[in-house]
Parts: sequence; C-alpha cells; structure tokens
Amino acid sequence: MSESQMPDYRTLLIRSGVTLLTEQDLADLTPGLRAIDGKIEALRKLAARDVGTFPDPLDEAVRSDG
Amino acid sequence: MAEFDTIAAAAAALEAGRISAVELVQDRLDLCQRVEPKLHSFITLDRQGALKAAAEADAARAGGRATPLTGIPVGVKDVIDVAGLPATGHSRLYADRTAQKDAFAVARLRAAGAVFMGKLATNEFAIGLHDPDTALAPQPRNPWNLAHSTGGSSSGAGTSVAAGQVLGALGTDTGGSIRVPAAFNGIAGLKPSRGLVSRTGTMPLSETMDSLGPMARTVQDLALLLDGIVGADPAETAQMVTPTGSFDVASRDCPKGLRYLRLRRYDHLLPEGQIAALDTAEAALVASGAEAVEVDLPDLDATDAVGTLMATCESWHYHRERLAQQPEKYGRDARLKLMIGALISGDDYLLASRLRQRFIAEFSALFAKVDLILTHPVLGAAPPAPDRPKVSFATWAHAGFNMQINVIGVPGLVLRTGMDGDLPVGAQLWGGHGRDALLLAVGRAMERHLADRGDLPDWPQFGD
Repeated sequence: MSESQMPDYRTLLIRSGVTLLTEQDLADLTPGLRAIDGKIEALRKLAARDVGTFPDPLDEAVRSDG
Repeated sequence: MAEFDTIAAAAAALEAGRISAVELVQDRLDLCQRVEPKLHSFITLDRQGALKAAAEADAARAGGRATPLTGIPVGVKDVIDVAGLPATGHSRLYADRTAQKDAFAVARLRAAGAVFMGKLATNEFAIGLHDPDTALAPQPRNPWNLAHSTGGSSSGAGTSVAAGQVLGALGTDTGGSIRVPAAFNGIAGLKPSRGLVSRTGTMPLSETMDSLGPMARTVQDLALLLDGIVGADPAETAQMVTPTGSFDVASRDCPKGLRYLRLRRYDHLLPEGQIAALDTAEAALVASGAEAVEVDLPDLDATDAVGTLMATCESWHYHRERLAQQPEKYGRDARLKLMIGALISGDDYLLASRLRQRFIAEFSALFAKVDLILTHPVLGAAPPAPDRPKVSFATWAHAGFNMQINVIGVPGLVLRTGMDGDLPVGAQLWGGHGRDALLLAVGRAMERHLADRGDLPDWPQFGD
C-alpha cells in the first residue's frame, strides 16, 4: 500500500472516540493498524474464495424464493 | 521446607501431621520477606489474612473437614477478585478498589480451604506492557535470572510459583497469558476448555477469548487446583462444560496408543534450545505410549487473525468510555493497544465470528483424527527484560502462536521440559474440547518420564 493509499488513521481514530492522541502515538500505532488491516483483508479473501463452504446467509435465504 | 515444594507433597505432609498450615504459610511468608524485594511477584501481600486463614485451615483439618487444598498457600492474579483484598487490574483507574466478594473460582478455592497469600502482579488489565510512569508496583523479575522477562500477563503467578512463594496460582489467558509466563518461569499452566472454569468476578479483556486457569509447579498440582475451581456457574456467559469426577483421579493413568501431531511449521523461527525442549517432550510422549501421526491442519494464520480481530474489538468495547474519559490513567502501551480496536468495524467483527465457527468445526474434525498437538508455547526462553519496554505493535499484531486455542476453545497445557542455559524452556500440548483430563494425564506421564531421566532441573533457590 502506497503512502497516498493509506487510510487517514488519525481522523478515523478521533471519529471513533479516541482521545489524547499524539503524533508519536500515531507513529507507534500505525504498524499495528496496518497489520490489523492486513488480517481483515486476508479474512475477507478467505470468505470470498470459499463460497461453497462459507455460505452467505442472505444469499441462502433468497434462494428459496425460487 | 523444600520437601513441601508442590501442592501434592504439602497436602500429604499436612494430612500426615508432619507440618501445620500455619507453619507452611509462615515459611512461605518468610521466603516472601527475602525475595519480594528482588522478584516483585505481588501487588498485594496479605500476611495477616494468610496466617488467619492458615489457622482456620488447621482447625478444619482437626475437625475432619480437609480437602487436598486445605492449608495450601495460593496466589491470585490481580484481575481476579478476592473479597476484602485490593483488586486493581494493575491500573491507576482502580488503584483504590477493594473487592467486595470472591470471584466464583476463588470462592470455590476458599471453600476447599486454600490460603490466599495475596494478589499477584499482572500486566495492566492483562494487556499493557509494564509502564514505569503509570505502574502501581515494580515490574516482576524472572526467578531463574533476574535480568530476564517473566512473560505475561499472569506474570506474578509465574514468578511466585517458580520461586516457591506460593504453591499454586490462578491466572487468566486471552491469547497465551497463562502459557507464556508458565513457559518463561519453568512451571506448568493450563488454559482450560472454554466453559470449564467460570470467569465470574474477573476483570474482562475479551468476552469470547478469556479463560481462567491454574498455574503450579507440576501437572498433578494443576489437576488438584482444577478440582478446586471447576463448577457450574449460572452467571457465566460461556456455555458451561459439566465436569464429571476428579481431574486428579482421571489424570493418574495415561492411556496408551494416543495419536499426536508435532507442529513443525514454526521450527524455522525457534532457537535451538526450544527445538531441543520439543524433542525432549516428544521423546517423553513416545515413552508414554503415544504415536506420531501426520494430518493437515486448518489455516493457523487465519485462525489467529480471527482471534486477534475479535479480542481487540472486544477489549476496546470494555474500555472505550473509560479511555475517552480518563486516558491519562492508562499506561501508554495499554492505551495504544486498546485504541486499535476502535477501527474494527461491526461488519469485520461478524466476519471473524462466522469464520470462527468454521474453524471450531474444522479443528473438531481434526481432533477426531489426532488426540494431541505438540507445539512450542513461545519462541524460546525468556528474553532480557528492559526497564522501559518499547511498544511494538507490528510484532504484537503478528504474534500468532497461542491465540488459536482461545479461538477454538480447546485446552492448552504448558509444562517445562528442559533448560536453555540458565533459563527454562517448555512445550505445549493442545487437546480436543472437553479433554482436559486427558491432557493432564499425558502431561503427568511426561513429567514422570522426565523426572526419572533427571531432565527436570532443581527449582531456583534463594539464600537467607
């Protein structure tokens, strides 16, 4: 992920109710936040790849409409 | 009193009248007097309360009301409530808090006659690294080598048991917090099956990953403690496993022909001493009658990711309002780790939750083909402990070696299997859900084999 594609973590954290956030805090947090983003991405790909064994409940529900 | 250095040995001596509970507890208090200035195992040491409880234990025994835990000195991690004692979570938020009632497991131990020596050191809220700017107590030190880490977050439980200040302890484990300090301090620790031990009266970190479990010098002692703390608790939110019979009795004999899988996937990351400890553990498993099998494992990285996302989100949920109102009361490492949960959406939490059910099913199928998984508890022996640890969230977020069993809810047992220089190294066994007694039986058989071979080192000694 390039610098320009990185989420604006500061804004997102403040919108989520985080207080007392310094520049150093943000610098130290960023690797952890990126790692979490990577884990989320990996799980989304896993779920998308395994449609057969990981059914979408909404899709399952409307399938019965015929 | 080195001959009474385990719960089983002390219980036998108490029952035979070779020692009284008051004498045993006074001996441990004297040891605490000598070693606490070095080890800092306790946040609160309750000398008067311990001696009073010991006298009551002696009276109970004289009245014919003794259990194997009557008069046994134990410690409790300071995220678990003991009525009348401070209960801080090692946080400035709760520096003045005193527990009004016992946690469910503590009440069970109290009813069994155990003697509470005090509240043991923990990482802040079981998550933050030691922060000298906000800490309520000094950082505990490894009794095998004071310059090295104790591991966490059940740090004081690890040090106090290894040093002999207590004979058993209660810890908590959300992603390795019983098993890592057990390994670093060379003791045994059990993260029980989800639902086996009530967490009522414990400061939560993660609703769906937290476990409460025993830590002790031997696997048999774990079984004795487990007998003392299990029980159905209507207030527990996890579906309770109904215990049947005594874990001590059920784990005395190890069945032959068990199938084990040695997890070698992370061997390239392990130092030689850790590999040697696993080799020793495997030899003990084989000597106990187990047979190696090869089976494919579910996706360990994805299982770890599920646990990290869910635990991080859940811990943020518990702390969100407190962090917003009093952020200065938190240590920096705890504050920043908790903040990460702010950016995990409900959508992603649900995705992780659904994948978790899939992994539980996949591991359940795996444990139909294999009885045990042998793996490392942590990457080798305890590293040096800096006075001011650096935050390192990239490393934290990729930790990924212990969280899996919290995700799938199975038991994990750590026991010491050797030394790397002057520091202990251990091995970890996973078993199927509800097979805690089997895991303990295997661990006891392995310990017998290692003791017969002289592979287990003497405990750390502290002169007068």
